[in-house]
Amino acid sequence: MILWEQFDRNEIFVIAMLIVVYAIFFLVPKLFPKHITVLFLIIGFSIPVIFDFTIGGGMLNFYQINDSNAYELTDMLTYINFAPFAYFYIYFYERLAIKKTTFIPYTIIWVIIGFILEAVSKFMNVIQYQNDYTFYYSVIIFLVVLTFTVLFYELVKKKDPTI
Amino acid sequence: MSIVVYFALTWLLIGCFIALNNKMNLMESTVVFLVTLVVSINASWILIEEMELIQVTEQPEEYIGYLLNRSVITPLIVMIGIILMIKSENFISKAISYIGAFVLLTGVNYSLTYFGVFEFVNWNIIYDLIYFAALMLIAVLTYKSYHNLYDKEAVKHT
Repeated sequence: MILWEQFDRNEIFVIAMLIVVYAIFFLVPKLFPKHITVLFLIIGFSIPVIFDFTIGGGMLNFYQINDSNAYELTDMLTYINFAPFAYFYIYFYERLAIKKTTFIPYTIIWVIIGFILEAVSKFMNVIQYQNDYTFYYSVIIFLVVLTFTVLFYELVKKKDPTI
Repeated sequence: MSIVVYFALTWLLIGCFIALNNKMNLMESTVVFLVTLVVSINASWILIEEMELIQVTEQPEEYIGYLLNRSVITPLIVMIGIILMIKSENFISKAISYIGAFVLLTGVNYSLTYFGVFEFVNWNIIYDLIYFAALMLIAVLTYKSYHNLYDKEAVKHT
């Protein structure tokens, strides 16, 4: 494991994102009990790890995160960056009282946010596609992940009396 | 062949997981599963790709066996081990569940060499035993920490 190959714009972007994302996370009023917050932070961290080490590395190797295919500290910071996003998705789902009728536009907005963030990440060299992977395939991942996150949250709400 | 073996093993473990009376709630199970999965993925990546202590096959069929073992079989065996530990009423049964789980994890991992999925370069079964004992410990500590957090929040709620 290395820190990074060259400290340039992708590292600066990842660190800046880390500061902004966690500042928002700590500033927004708390809505859930601590164990639910921790649960969705872990989900948010696990999803990019699962995808990156399954389709983003190894035999498929569809994309490269940061400077190289080697494991860098910046890669770990990139995954940590994602952790609050699952929380934000559920946070605003609850805050905006999203129902079955508003779920589709709500999720489409999040897909657009994901798309913009991925475009910026590509521009900043945080992600580089390879082996015929293109930008648009990520929409499938966003739709699947966001839908399962909400379904899981609804299941948690049914099972957990503290929410 | 290996894909059939590891797919059947995955199916069997999911069946056992469902059949067992899981004392962990949904949130605890999810947290333990995901933490184990993340540690397993990172450890296997570091051992295989970064340190090159283990060589993994380049055949797609066998590679799926590796992915199943790393991402589903390993966390499921850990989960089953913890469920049995929680169910156990005395220290000896808890210890047997703990040791049984990491010995089984080591056995399954070693079986990958038989099917040609893995080749141990600078790695051996003793290192595997130590690694899986540590993985089980991480999972148990994760469960204890999250369970305590959940209990505190439940008390606040009542």
